[in-house]
Amino acid sequence: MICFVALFVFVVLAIFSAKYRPLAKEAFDCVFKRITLRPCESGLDERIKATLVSSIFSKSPKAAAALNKHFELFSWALTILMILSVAYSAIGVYNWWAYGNCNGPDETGFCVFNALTGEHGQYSDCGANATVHQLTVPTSLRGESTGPENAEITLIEFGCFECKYTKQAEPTVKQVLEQYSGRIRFIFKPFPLPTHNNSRLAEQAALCAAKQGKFWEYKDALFANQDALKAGGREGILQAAAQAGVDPASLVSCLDSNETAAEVEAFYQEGVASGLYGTPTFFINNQSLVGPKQFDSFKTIIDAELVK
Amino acid sequence: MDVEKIREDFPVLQSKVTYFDSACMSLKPTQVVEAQNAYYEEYSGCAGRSLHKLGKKTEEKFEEARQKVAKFTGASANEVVWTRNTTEAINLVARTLDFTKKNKVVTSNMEHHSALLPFMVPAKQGKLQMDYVKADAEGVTHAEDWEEKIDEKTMLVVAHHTTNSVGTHAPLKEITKAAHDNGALVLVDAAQGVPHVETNFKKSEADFLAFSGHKMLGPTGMGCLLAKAKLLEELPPFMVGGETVEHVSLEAVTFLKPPQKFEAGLQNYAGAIGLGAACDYLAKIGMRNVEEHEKKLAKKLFDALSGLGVKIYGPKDVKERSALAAFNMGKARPHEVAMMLDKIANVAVRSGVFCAEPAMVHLGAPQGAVRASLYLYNTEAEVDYFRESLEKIAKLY
Repeated sequence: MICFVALFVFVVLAIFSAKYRPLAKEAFDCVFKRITLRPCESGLDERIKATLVSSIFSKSPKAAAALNKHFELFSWALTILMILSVAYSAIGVYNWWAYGNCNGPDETGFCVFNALTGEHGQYSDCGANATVHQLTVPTSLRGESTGPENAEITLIEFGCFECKYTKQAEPTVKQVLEQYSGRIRFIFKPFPLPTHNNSRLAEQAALCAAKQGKFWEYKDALFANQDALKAGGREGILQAAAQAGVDPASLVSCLDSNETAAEVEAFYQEGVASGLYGTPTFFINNQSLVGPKQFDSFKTIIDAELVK
Repeated sequence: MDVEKIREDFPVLQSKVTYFDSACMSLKPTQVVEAQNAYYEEYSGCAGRSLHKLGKKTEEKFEEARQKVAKFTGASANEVVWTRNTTEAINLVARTLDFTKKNKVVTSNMEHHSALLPFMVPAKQGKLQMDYVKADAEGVTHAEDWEEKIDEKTMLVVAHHTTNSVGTHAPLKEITKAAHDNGALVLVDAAQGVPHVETNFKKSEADFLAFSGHKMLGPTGMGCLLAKAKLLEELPPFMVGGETVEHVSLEAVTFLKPPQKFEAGLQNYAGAIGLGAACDYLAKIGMRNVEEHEKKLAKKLFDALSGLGVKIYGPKDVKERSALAAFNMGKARPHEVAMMLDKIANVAVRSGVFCAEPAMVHLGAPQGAVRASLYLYNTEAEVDYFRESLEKIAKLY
C-alpha cells in the first residue's frame, strides 16, 4: 500500500524537482500493477520500508521493530489519511469555487486560496467583505498613537480584537516599533469586523480604557484573553480589564452609556472607505500590507521609505 | 599477509564501511589509482600511432600492462586480448567462433547471465543448440553430469570457475578433459576466479578464459579474454575499425595479428595500466596468501551465518565454497536486509538474484537473497561485526 502514498508524494515532489520523476514513475508502475492485481516487482516498497525503519532505528529500535512488523498496517493508515486529506482538500476547492471561501458558505475562517486573490500576497480575512478592493491610505491620523508625531514613518494598523490574525501580527508589530524606535509613529485604529459578535463591544471598551490612559495595556490584555472574549463577550472584556489595571466600574459605566460607540463606528467607516477587506491591514506611509506578515515584509517597505 | 597494512592502501576503507560486496566490485588500492592517474597526468598519449614521446611512453606502459596480466595469469602476452569486461570477452567468443560444423554449447544452470545470454540468444534464433548441466540442490555441478552432456556434437563448453551466486566451483579439470576428448573447446568464466586464486591459463588447458579487472582491484571498464594463440589466429575479428588493421584499401583489408586484431578503436590505456598495477599488487602479496586468508574468512563467515540460523544457499561443506555467502533471513526480504545493513550498520552487501536468475531459482530463491562477498582486505573482526549487525536486524522481524 505504501506505493499509493509514494505515488502521491513523489508526484508532488516531481513537480518541483526532476530528481523525483523516476521515483514518481516507478511508484506509478507499482500502483498500476497493484490495481491490475499483479505484484509490484520494482522493490520500491522494500526500499521505502527499509529507509523508514532504518531512520527510526537509530532513535528507537523498539519503534523501528514495531514499524517493521506492522508496516502494511502503517501503509494502510497512511493511505487512508492521504485519501481523506485529498477529499478534504477537494471539498475546500469546491467551496472556494462555489462560495468564495474554502470553509463553506457563511464561514469566515482563514482560507489559503485567498492568498491568490489578495492584492498583496498573503491575505488574512477575518470576516470583512470578501470582495477585494483597491486600498486607499486613510487621510485621518485619528486613533491611539505612540511615537513622535513628526516621525519619518507612520504605521497605521486597522485591527480587530477578536481576529486571530490581528493577534498573530502583534509580536511583529512590537518588533517593528522596537527596531525603528524614534523614527516611527504607530496609530491603531479599531476595526470591528461584523462577523465577530463581540468585536464592536471590545473596540468600545478599548476606547473607554483609553480614557483612563490604559489603551495599550488593555489592547495587550484583550489579545491575551481573546478566547475568553470570543466565548464570554462582556466577561472577557472585564477579565482583560482586570489584567490591564483598568477600573472596571468606570469601564462598565462607559460601555453602558455607549460613550465610545460613535467613535468606533467612525473608525469602522474610515476602514470601509479605505477599502479594507480583512484585518489586520497596515499602511506604512503610502504602502499597504494585509495580513500577519513577517518582519522582513515591514522592514523592506520601511527601509525603502527611510531612504526616500 | 598483514591485512591491517593492506587495508591502509584502500582509501574507501578509511570511511569505516564494512565492505562485503567484492564479488560485484572490488575496492581499489592507492597503487592502482596512482598508476591510472600517472597516465592521465604524465603521458596521456595514443599507443602505437603517435611517434612523439608521450605516445611512445603510452605504448610502452600499455604493452607492459599486457605482459603483467599475462604473467599473473600464466598466459603469453599474445594470448591476452583487452576487453571491457568478462561479458564482452564471452561475447567475443560467442560472436567469432565458427558454429557451422558443430553448434552444440554445453553449460550449466549456475552460470551468470553474461555467460548464458551470449549463447542463449543465438540459440533462440536457431543458430545454436544449448544443453544445460543441472547443479545439485546445493548449487554444485558434478563432473559426471558435465561428461554426460559433452559429446562429439559439442562445439563449446562454457563453465564457471566460481559461481557468483553461492561461490561453488565447477570441476574444470574433468570438464576440460571431456571437452577435448570430444573435440570441443572450453570457455571458463573466471570473473570470480582470477581475483581470488592463483591462475595458470596454460596449465589449465582451457581454450578461453574470461575475467574482469574491476573484481580484482583493477579499474572498471577493463577486462580480458585469454585465448590459446592458435585459436586467436583462426578467429575472425570481433569488432573492426581503427587499430585492428595493418593495411586498408577500398578493395581489401589486412588485419593485424592477434591480439591486436580484436582490439578495435582507441583502447582503454589507463584501464589496462591500472589492471597491470592491480596484478602487481596482488602478485606482491601472493595469490596463495590471498587464498589462505579467504579460506579463513569463508569459514568464519559460514560459521557466523550458521549460528544465526539463517537460510544459507550453497554447500554446507565450507571447503567447497569461496569467501562468499548468499542467504535469507526468515520473512525479511533481501533488499530490505541489504538496505538496513547499509543504513543501520554501514555494511555494504548485495541483494537480488545477482545476474544469475536461473541459478537462484534452482536454489529455491526466486526472489533473490542477500550476498556477502569478502576479499583480501576483509578481516575476521568485520565478520563478527557483520554477525552482530544481522542480529540487530533480525530483532526487527
